[in-house]
Amino acid sequence: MRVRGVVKVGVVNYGVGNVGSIFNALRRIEAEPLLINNTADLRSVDAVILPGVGSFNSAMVNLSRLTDELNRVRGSSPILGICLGLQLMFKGSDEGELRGLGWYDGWVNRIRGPRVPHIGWDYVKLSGDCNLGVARGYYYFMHSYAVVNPVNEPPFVGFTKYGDSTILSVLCDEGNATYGTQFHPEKSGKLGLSILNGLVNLARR
Amino acid sequence: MTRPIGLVRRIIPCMDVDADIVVKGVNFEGLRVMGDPVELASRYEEEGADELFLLDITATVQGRSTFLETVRNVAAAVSIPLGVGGGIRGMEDADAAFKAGADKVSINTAAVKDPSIVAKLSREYGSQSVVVAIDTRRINNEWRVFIMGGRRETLLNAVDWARTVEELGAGELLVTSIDADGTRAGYDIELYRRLADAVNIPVIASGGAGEPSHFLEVLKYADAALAASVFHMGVINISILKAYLSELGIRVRI
Repeated sequence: MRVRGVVKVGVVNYGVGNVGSIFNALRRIEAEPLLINNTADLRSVDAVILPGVGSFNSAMVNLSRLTDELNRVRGSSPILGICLGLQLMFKGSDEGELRGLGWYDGWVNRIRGPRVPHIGWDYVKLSGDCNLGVARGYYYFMHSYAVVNPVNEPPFVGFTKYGDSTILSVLCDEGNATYGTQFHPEKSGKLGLSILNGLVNLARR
Repeated sequence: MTRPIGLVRRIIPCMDVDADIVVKGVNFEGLRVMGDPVELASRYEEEGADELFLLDITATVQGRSTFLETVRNVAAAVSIPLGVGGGIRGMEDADAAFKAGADKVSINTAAVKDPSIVAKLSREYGSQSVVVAIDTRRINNEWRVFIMGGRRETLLNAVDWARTVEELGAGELLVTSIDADGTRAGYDIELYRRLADAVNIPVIASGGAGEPSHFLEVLKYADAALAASVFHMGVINISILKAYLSELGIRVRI
């Protein structure tokens, strides 16, 4: 997306939780992180991250002032949802009464597994390629909700077994330049950083 | 009952920090200098540590701001999860730790004094970010909870207390055996076996790691094993440890 020099990556501020880890990771790959508070901020960045902090309702309340602009930006600037940020792209969640962005069919459920929350490193299996540059391997998860037992077809490309069910772990919608990971790339060592790098490279195209 | 074997077990180096220096004691006393927090943290990430813990052992007002600076520096240097604990008395301290770059906070004494803090923290930050640390010592065949850095005994039974904080919304437990701490004689396996039966949230075992087989034993019951001096002093290399565990059937990230 014709960006030369330092890529500005906007991290949407839901007003709760901490985005320090994402800022640190973006700085490490030499991108410039910016906090997005309003529509003008959203228009000024080259890529957008919906972070994984707070709860479904609190995030949607804060996001409501940005949704129209987000829908406009979507498709031109790459958008990456992380953890809760991915969940917000669906119709709704067991975690809250508010509706999600509704970009994808599906519902976010409370996970059932040997242990909830699902905390720690887990294996992501890929069923297709993603231009974000996601590799199969171990990533860091930290969540109690997820899209459970999704269909195995694009834009759903990454999956993780948890207990008896399968969790959607990577969404890759190249047509709309919209991506999501249920795990935290900013906490997943080198493999994670390469996903953030992929986002930055897409913004450069 | 053992823990579900399908889950990936974590290896967590823990750094006790005093005035921006990593130190380590034996049975919570007699501190020795171990090194620079950022250098150690980077080395551990490189070796394959799954997560890091930073504990503030000064807990004075002045020491506090120095410690938060350490948290900021370490958080900026690594891209694996960072837990922060020691001296977190309430929401403000937790907030400061998260702002400095912590992904989780561990709370100990303050939770015993006012258990409602666990529920408040978990509502605000999500239970996955709230670790309750329990320091315990075996007394008359039960595990008694100690607070104030192991200095004060309480009437609480550690297994009961673990259940209570799980109900309040703790996302994880970091359970240290004071008896085993720094001895390198092995984890208190019986303690973690009991806890595995008692709670459904992840349990991090701490205290007593001396050799690779100690990790193998405890990870049958605990979800993660934390250790300090064996890593700081180079007695155990994390990548070699994980290869050993993997060979013997423990699922780890390699």
